[in-house]
Amino acid sequence: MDEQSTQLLRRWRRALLRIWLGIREWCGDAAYERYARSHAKHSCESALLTPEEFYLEQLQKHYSRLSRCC
Amino acid sequence: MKKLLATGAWIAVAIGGAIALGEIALYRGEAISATWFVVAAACCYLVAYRLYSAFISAKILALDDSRATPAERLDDGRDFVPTNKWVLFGHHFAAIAGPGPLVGPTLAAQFGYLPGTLWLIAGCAFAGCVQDFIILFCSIRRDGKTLGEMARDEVSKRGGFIAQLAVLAIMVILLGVVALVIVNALKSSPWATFTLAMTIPIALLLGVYLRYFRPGRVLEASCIGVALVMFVVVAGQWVAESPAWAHVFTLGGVTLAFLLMAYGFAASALPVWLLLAPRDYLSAFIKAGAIFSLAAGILIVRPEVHMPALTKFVDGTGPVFAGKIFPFCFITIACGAISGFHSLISSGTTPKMIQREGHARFIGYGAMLLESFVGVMAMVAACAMPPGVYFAINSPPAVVGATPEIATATISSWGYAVDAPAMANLAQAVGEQTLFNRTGGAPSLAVGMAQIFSSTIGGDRLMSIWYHFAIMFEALFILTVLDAGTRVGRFMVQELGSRAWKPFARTGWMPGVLISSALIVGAWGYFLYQGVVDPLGGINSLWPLFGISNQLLAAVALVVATTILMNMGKLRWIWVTLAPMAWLVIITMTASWQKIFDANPRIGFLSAAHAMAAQIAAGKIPSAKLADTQRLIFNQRLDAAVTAVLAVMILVLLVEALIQWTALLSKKREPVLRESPYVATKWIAEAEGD
Repeated sequence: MDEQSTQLLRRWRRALLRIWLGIREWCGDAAYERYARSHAKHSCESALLTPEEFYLEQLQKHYSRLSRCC
Repeated sequence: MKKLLATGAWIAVAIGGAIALGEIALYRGEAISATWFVVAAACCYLVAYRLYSAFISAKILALDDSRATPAERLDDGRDFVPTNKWVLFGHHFAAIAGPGPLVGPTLAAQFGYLPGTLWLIAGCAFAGCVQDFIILFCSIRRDGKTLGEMARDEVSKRGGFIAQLAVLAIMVILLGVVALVIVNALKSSPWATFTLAMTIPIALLLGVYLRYFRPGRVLEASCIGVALVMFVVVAGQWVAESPAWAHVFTLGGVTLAFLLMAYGFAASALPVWLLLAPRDYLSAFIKAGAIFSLAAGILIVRPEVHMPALTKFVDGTGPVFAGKIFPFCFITIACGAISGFHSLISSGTTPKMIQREGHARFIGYGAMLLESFVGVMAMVAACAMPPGVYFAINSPPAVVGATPEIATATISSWGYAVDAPAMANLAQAVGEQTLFNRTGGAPSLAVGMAQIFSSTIGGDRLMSIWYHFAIMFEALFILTVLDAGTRVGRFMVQELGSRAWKPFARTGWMPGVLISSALIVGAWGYFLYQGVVDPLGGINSLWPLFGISNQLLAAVALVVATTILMNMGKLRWIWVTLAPMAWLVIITMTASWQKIFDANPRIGFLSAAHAMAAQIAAGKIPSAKLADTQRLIFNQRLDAAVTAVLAVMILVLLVEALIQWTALLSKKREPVLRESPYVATKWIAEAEGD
């Protein structure tokens, strides 16, 4: 494979990866990883929630306020 | 050279939009291609985004990318989460796009394709997008405050209270009317009822999977769920064709209404992870897929629009709902043009997740443009079928007659040819027993969508599958609004109740949960029930009520936005929010007046009550129907009272705002900008340091 094709392939792979990451972000799959990163970055005093605890907490919050329109 | 090319391209887009708009406005032939609608809408949206939203961003709001947003300053990985602008656009669009932009344009098609299409395009560019964008900006500058909080801070305490009341009123009416749309779609349809019923065990299964086996793995769970839902759409045909099972799922309106109330109560009282959340995930994926497929289908098939530009029903005698084009076209199409409900989303989660102030234009203004495009597609789908078929599906028996022969004769006498055998063939093709008198908009939209989809894939063979896919999509969509809305309504009732008795607010206290759930379900359930038993089909009285309450909330949002612009010293540009606000006040007040006092019993609630009372007094009502008629009279008077309360709320809010504005303009009060202090973003500095 020549240099140009390799670069093109790399660019495609990067674009697909970005779309995949975007879908994971949009549907909420990446929410826990994001929370864990934020928790580590801000060195919070509260304990890190488990994935299950985090999932339940997020649901409680999301469905306690208006989140769907007419 | 590059600038010249860009300018040339934008001039071409503007000319393309003008030609397409001219074509749909002036064409008076037999049928017009849907391509003109797509081109007109797309070009107008592009120009509006490029020019009007840029003007608002630069001249009025002065969006500042150097200013840290709440998501950056308060980042906690939970509520305040900096989010990629495309992802947040997806979130915001998924939150604002409900059944409204599908049902509203379908109902408004009775005036012809032109009024609704023009209102969808112009309304969103100059009103709906402006509201969403400016409220989002205001909330970002105030640490993500809600509309109610901003109304209280910026207008008055009473303004905040009115916003709260408006939200509760709109919730109750909205839930009642969307539930009615589902009931009318499922009535006497075993296939559709089975499909929708099966989504409940599927959602429960996903709930358990996401809670105990793979917490938070929404994507994989949703893929399983979507595959199962597609299977039950196909399996519905076997049920409908099975003599043993078909009758189990062939239900009447009242039974369906009570089943929906039971579902709403369960979804509100059960743990959120079990039913509500997984159904929401399912709905989000199917919604995205169906809307994308509809857009692709319209572009590929380019169906002919058979509905005339204007029908004779602009005079107010329409069979779908009564009332003249002004103001009822603008009340019927709320979502898609301007929806007050959006202001709650724009001041809810989105401002807490936005990375840069500059993204507010793309997300606030852009997402609303896309929703309006969904409305235009629904209009095309509804108008693509022969007008006679459209009116046969959407007209109640009290207007066109109860038997197929009488209904087709009535509709044909209006100049919209339709015959009973053709309707029977169409019903058979989509797998329904009948398509007559299926009011509410959902069945006619499903027929339109099925015709477009089957022209793309499968032909007539798959027509019934596509029809039931469309019904399932609409019903699933609406159930998501119904269960999430009931739960939020429950919290509102608990909060209001806690003013009388504090422990009532405890969300984990089961008696409080059950009582508040029963109260909110009882409130919207009453509207649903009155819609189901209404001889005019319910939509005639309830949809305008919903439109009025929704536009009331939009007026509240625009009053708040206008007050904030005044406090920002942007008096010169105040017309940007003031003009749509004035328009909304005019249409809501006119519609309210007509719905209460119009002498035509099909329009005015009080005259309808008087007419029925006169029939009782004249002894024209058989004694067996006396109690029902008295209940109908009560319902009409109740609707009149609710409309009056909504109108008074608008007037009180306007007076409050005028007092504020006069004090500001006469310099009796200094403008106070309640924005959170400026903090420079660290992200730009970090990027420069790299």
